Amino acid sequence: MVFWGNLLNWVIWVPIVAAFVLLLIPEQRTRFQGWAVLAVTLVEFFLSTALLRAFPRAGYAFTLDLSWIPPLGAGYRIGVDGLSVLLIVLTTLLTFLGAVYSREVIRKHVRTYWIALLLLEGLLIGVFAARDLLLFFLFWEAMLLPMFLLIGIWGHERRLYAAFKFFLYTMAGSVFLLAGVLYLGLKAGTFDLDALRGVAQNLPLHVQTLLFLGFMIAFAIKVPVVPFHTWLPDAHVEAPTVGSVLLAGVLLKMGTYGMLRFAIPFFPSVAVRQASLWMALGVAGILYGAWMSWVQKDMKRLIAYSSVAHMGFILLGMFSFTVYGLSGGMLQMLNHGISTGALFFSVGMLYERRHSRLMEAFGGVAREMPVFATILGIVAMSSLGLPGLNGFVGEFLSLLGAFQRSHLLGALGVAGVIFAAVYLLHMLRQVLFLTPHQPREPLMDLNPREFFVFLPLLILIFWIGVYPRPFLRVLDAPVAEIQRVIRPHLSTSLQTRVQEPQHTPEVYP
Amino acid sequence: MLQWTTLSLELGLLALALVLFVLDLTRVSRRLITLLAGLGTFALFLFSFTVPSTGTFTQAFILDPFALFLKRIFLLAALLTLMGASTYARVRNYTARMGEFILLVLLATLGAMALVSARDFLTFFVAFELLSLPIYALAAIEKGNPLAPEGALKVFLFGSLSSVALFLGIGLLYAATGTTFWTRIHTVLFPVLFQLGVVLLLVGIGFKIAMFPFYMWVPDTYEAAPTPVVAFLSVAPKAAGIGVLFRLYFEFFSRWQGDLTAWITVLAAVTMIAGNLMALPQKNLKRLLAYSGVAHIGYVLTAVAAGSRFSAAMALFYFVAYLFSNMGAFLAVAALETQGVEPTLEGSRNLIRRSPLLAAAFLVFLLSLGGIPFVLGFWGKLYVFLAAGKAGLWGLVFLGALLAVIALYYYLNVARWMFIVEEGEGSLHIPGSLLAAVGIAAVVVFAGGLVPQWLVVPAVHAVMGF
Repeated sequence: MVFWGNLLNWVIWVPIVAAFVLLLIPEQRTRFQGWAVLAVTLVEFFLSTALLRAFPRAGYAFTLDLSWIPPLGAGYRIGVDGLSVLLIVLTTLLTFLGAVYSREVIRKHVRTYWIALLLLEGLLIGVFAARDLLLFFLFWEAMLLPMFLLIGIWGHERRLYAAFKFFLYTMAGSVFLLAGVLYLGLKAGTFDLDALRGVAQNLPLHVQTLLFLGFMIAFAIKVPVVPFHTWLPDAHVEAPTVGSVLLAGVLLKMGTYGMLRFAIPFFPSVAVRQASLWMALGVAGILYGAWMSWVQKDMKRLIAYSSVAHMGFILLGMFSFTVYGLSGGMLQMLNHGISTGALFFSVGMLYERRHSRLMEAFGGVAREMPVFATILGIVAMSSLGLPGLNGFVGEFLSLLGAFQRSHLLGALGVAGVIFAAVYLLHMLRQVLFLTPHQPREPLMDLNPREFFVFLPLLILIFWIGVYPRPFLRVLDAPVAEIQRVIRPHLSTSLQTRVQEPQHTPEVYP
Repeated sequence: MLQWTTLSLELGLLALALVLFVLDLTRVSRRLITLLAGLGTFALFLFSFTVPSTGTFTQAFILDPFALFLKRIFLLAALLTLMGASTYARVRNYTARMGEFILLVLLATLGAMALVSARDFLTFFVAFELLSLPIYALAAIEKGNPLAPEGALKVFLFGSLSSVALFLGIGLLYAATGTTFWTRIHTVLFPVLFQLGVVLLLVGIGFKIAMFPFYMWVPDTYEAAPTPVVAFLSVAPKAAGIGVLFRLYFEFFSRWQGDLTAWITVLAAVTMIAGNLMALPQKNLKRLLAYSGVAHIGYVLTAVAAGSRFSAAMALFYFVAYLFSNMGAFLAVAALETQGVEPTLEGSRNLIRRSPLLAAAFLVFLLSLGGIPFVLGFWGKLYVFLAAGKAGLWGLVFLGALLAVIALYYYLNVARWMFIVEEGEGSLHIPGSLLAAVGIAAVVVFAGGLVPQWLVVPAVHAVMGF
């Protein structure tokens, strides 16, 4: 059977089915549930890494094309390219680590928590694997519910406000997406991505512009691009630790992923026309996010705003449409997931110990928790883009791409790197080194479980920082694909500027 | 030559109602009668798949796949109502009147079934009254409830008003055309009278389907009437009204060169807006569902405005989704009430602890009503939007989608009380028949969401006749 033999299909459905199976386990047996979820997420992680072996290569792998709702032209079409597969592995990794972390932390409604987590994982993977616009939309919408529950039930004090805000804000964006999806589907008579591409590009320009904006608003809210970001700080701050990790690590990428997979390839000519606008919004995000981070007292809020800044880099790189910018943006999607995920884990662990997220509640942590302090230092450095760590590679390439298109925007973007250093070092100083005003009871250093949560993330931070080539090679084909779609629409002067470099950059052979 | 087989479903239902009514006069236990009523209705539902799907009984009555599809919806609505009713009656102390209850429900169903087959105004009016009159009595059947007379009086007064409007409209249309048969209209003698007649006709149907601005009676009646009755009331008359509207659209209005699209478009928009906004502040679950029902009619009217065969099919499909989601939600409320729980947001607090199964089912209904993917309601909305988009009504699509987001707020608010608010003690023991009805509805909503084409394709086939 095609359906059963497809590895990707298993990767999507294993967690979802496991979530339903979990309903059969009695509610009180929390220990058993914890181990079961751990096993499922671990298996899931290994299954997803098996997807990697098909890459690098061009086109899609593990494709499956089944008719699902024939009168509508909607099919069950899945498949992955290099970008999808990296994001899927990121999802499964963060979910597994989240499960490891949550086992000792979540105390109430444990079974419901696991169900929400597993559902979220499966649906997120579905988002990245869908090759059918309607299927994508289904996963995109359905994913909101488990996240709503995660924030609403296990969040902090203002969790309900944040959960509703998150849900309604994203849904409001989806309205535009839905209108676009329906319009395209009706025009084409199918929701198959490849077929839609041809149809979309031949629409009149004003229709294309409207549709592009519709798609982009939905995705921009998710990213979030600056004027649409207000849901994010609330959602991040109020979500439980693992909620924040997945929110920042994976959910935000759905926005940029949607741009790369749908908005840009469907409407390349509009995308090229509006490239400067979106690059400018990216820069606005970088600067605004950095400044807002600078003045925060709450660590989670600080990291939340730093996410706005980091996502700005991705946007900046992507919309430069250069090889450097695109691959930098895509790599940065992965990097941001790793670094910010690790940062949220760190804050969560501090919160577990002192039940505060305020920086002033801490101080001198370096003396009491040396191992933790070292890790937090490394993670913060990776987030601010220290050369040799992963953040640098993505940001550097994004900025390189931006410079090729516009010196001004590139220069402003570089300023953002400096601000990032300011607020992150500010946080490190406050939390790790300053002596607290009054003596507090000492903190325990990391236990092995917590250390284990960080371990894979640290490995990736160094690996991508020192030798990013395997990751970039996986991304080669998706980058080339976007370039191929975009190139005919660029003016000739731009074509030479964004052209494939004659020699590979010396920085990263 | 009269084709009696065309009437077989109606005759069967009438026979069932009368036999059960006579049985009720004997010493047969009420429980057995309810069981027989349920089984009989289900048997008729199965039987509906074997009857010939086309035929006419004089020119006044037609059986076509479209009507048959709607008739199945009514039979299922009656079945779910009966499943919920017996336990509810026991708790609310009107078991003694279960015989009448069953008779009235079955007669109302009969009225709805005849209504969607009507092809001339006299049949139409008689069927309309047959659907309305039992509902007035049903709303008042719970004599002990101090609210009941008010709710019943409201539905009675508004219902009578709608009958008057309808009758006047029919009179005017007769005056303008000289015939009551829809298919025999060749010339319109007095266009002004004709238009006035059409407006009054819309008013009459508008009351029945709770369209803006004729929905004022809905929340009060829903709050006061026994919940299983409300479940029936929220689906069957509305589906019948919309079905008639489509038939009028295709067979009657089309012969007249007027265009109703603009009117219906406005009505659909206003109905959606009014229903969704009014539902926002509601604290009583029955009132909330009442207003949300108004909003849903707005969505179906969107399909009516599109006015194509495809949109008729999508409206049919929408009603299948709505049948199970909305009746499921009302029956779940009924289940709460049988446990002495007030049907309010506060009353439903912490339901996840107190009755996990009911809470899970309720969540499925809420998601379906709200239109979240992978449950039936999402597909209903999607298809209706698709139909409207095909007709170029993108404004309505956009408005509908936007309002759906607002609607999610109040649906999720219910979910919040059930899942997130933690105070609230005492586990509930939901009676079996109610739980079964709720469970069946939940399973259909959930499974239908995974394979919607099993329901869409029959709906598309059902409109081929037009």
